[in-house]
Amino acid sequence: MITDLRIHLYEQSALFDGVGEAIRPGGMALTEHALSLCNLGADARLLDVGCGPGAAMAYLSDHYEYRMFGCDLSAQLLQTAHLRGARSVVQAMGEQLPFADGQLDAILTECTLSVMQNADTAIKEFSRILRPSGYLILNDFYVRNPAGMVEMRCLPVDSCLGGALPQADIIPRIERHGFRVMIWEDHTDALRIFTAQLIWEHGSLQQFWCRASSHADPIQVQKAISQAKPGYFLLIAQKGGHNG
Amino acid sequence: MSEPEQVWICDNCNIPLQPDKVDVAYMGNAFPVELLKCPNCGLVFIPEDLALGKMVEVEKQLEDK
Repeated sequence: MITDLRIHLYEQSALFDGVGEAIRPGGMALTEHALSLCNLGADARLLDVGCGPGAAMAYLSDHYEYRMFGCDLSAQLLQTAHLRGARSVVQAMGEQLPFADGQLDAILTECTLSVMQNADTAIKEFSRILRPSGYLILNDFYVRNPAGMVEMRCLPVDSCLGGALPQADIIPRIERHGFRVMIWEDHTDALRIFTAQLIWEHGSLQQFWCRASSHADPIQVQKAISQAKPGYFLLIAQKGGHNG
Repeated sequence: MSEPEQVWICDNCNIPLQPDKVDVAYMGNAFPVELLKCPNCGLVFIPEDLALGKMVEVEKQLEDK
């Protein structure tokens, strides 16, 4: 059954107790790994698109000299970010970012591109606000079995799973907007551990989906997910290249 | 009236087990959880319902490619 009632899973932070501060596979270890692959200056300006409650911003501010900025669509999550000390945060959508052209050295978009309404517009916007050779650091879900994608997109839960695409669609989409993809790494093992942690916290995946949404059928959700075989990837692209 | 909390004693060291962080590993994947552990010898207690319940669920998940 398809319904108009939709749950924003990323705002249900209590559901993710037990998976750590960063509500996504890989946690801060994956973010640090990604940053180690980029040639960024100590005082580089980084924007965390979809910063949520500011866990990554707080961690990176504590451990690096980077100038951190954050944006998120959720006022509820931004309030938490603000309470934990993040000052340079703004309520904005990825498709329309309140930054001047070429202002940033890197953009982090971690498990967020797949929940945006228009990923193409967002990628174009990322390209606009990055300096030449600036980095786009993207980690997110992808679909390992494209035949199962349609059913997963119809689930009444707004999560990264619904907007996940196959690898063959993601790379050209990024490169179309003036980026050169430097690195693609599979991190599906991190997704397995993340899922195991959710099971540990909630007793089973079925229980997790029951708590996540009162109107989503947990069996339907699990069936759709297992058909699409979601994986997790890290992609690093630099502005400029084939088209830029 | 609530029942008093059950105290588990380490058979080796004869001291109470305490909640502590433990890494659970299966098929090369590991993640931290909180379980009862002996603060002296490190013995970890896994109750039967945990072993037959969500541990099985986790194993199935990690086996799924």
